[in-house]
Amino acid sequence: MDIRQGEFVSVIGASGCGKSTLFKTIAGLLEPTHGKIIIHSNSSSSTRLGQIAYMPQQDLLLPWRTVLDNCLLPWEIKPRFSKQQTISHIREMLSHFGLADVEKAFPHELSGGMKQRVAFLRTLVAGGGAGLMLLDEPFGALDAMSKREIHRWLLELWDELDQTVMLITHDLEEALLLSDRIYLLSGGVHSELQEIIVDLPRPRHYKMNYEPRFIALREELERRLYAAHTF
Amino acid sequence: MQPIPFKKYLNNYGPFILLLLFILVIWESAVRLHLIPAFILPAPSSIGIALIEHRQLLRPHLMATLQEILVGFVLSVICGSLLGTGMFLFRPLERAIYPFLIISQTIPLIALSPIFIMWFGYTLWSKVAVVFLTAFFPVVVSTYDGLRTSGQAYKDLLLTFGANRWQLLAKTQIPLALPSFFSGLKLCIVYCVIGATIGEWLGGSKGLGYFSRRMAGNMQSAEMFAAVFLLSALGVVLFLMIALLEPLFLKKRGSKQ
Repeated sequence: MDIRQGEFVSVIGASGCGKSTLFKTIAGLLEPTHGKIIIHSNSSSSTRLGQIAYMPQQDLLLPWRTVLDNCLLPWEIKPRFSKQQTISHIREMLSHFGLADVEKAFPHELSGGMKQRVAFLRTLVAGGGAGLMLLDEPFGALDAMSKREIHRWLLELWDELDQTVMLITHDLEEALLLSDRIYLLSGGVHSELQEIIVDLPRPRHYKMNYEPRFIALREELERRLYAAHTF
Repeated sequence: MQPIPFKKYLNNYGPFILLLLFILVIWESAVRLHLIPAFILPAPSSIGIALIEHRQLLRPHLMATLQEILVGFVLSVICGSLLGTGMFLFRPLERAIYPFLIISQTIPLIALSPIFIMWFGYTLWSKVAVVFLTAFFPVVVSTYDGLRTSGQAYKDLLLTFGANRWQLLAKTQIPLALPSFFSGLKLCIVYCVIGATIGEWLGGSKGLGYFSRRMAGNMQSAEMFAAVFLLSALGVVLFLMIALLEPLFLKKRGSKQ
C-alpha cells in the first residue's frame, strides 16, 4: 500500500479485517508485528505519534468545553504557534465550516453532523507534521441526511484543504465519491490487497453518484467485494 | 441558577415532610398515651426540649466531633485521591495495594480500638484514625474507578495529538473522573460521621458519641436522642455542602445532556 502526497484514499473491508488496527498502527498507537510503515522515509513509530492526525468514529468532543475550546485542545497539548494565532486560525476555519455561530456552544447543543464537523476541524488543527489525516469511519454514526450534507460540504472544501487523507468506510458511495483510489482489504489468512482507481474527474459534485461512470464503478466495487468474501 | 418555584419544592419534598410529620405525630401520641415508656423511647417533644435545655453543654461536644470529622475527612480525601491516582497510573502499585485496601475494610474496627488507644491515647488522633480507616476507602475506589472511566478512546486521541501522561490526566482523565470522585466524597463524609461516633464510643472525654453513650448509661434517653439527632443533622448538613459544591466543580452546563 502506498499513498502519495495530497491523495484521498479509502480503505474498505469487512468488519474485523483490521482496518482500524492498520490506522492505529499508522498513527503510532500500535507497533506493527511485521512489515514497516514509512512516512517521508522515516519508519520509527515513536516519532509518528503526534505527527499524524487521527479522527476516530466517535466525535470525542469534551462535553465541558465549548466548540472553540475543543478545537484548542491539540494546541494546548502541543503549541505550534502562539495562542492568538491559533485562535484566529480556528475562527477562520469555523466560519469556513459554517460553524461560526456555534463557537461558544457546548457539544450537546449541536447536531450529530455539526459535532463531526467540529471533530474534523479539531483533527485539522492537530494537523501533524506529516500532513497525513487518518479518518476512521468518521461519518459512520450519522444518519443518511447528515452524511449526505457532510459529503457535499467536504467536496466543496476538498481542494482548499490540501491534505493527504486515508479514510475507513463501509459506505461504498462515500468511498467512490471522495477518493482517488480505494483499497479493498480482505481479512483472514489469504489476506490480499486490491486496488481500485476512481477515475472520476475533480472537482467533484455530490450529485455525481447518479452518473453512469459512477454506477459502473460502484458495480465493479461491489462485485470485487463479494468475490473477496466467497472463500 | 434560576430560583426553583415553591410548587416544585413542594413536589420534591412534600411527601417526605408529610411522612415525617405523620411519624412524629404517631410517635408523640404513642409516648403520651403511655404505650411506650419514655426511658425506652422519649417523645420527640422531650428530645427537642433536651436539645434546647442542654445547648450550652452540647455545643463543645458538637465542636469536638466536627473537628474529628473534618480532620479525618481532609486526611481521607488527600490520601485517598493520591492513592487512587497512584494506583491508576502505576499498575504494579494497584496490584500490590488493592488487596490491602479490601483487608483494611474487613477488619472489625471495634476489635482494633484498644490498640488505637494504646497508639494514640485518648487524643483527637485516636478518633481521627478510626474516621480515616472508615472513610478513606470510598475515596480511593471512586478516584480509581473514575479515572478508569475515561477509557481508551480519549487516550488514543490525545496520544495522537502528542500528549504525555500528565496531559492525558489533566485534560481528560481527571475531568471525566469528577462525577465518580464526588460520589466518593459524599459516601466519605457520611462515613466520617459514623467513624467519629465510633471513635468516641471507644474511648474519650468529649464529642457527641461520648455524650450519647454517657447519657445512655444514665438512662437519660431524651438527652441521648438529642445527641443522636445532632449527629445525624451534622451528617446531613455536611453531605448537602458537598452536594452543593459538586455542580461548581462539574461545570454542569457542559456535562448535562
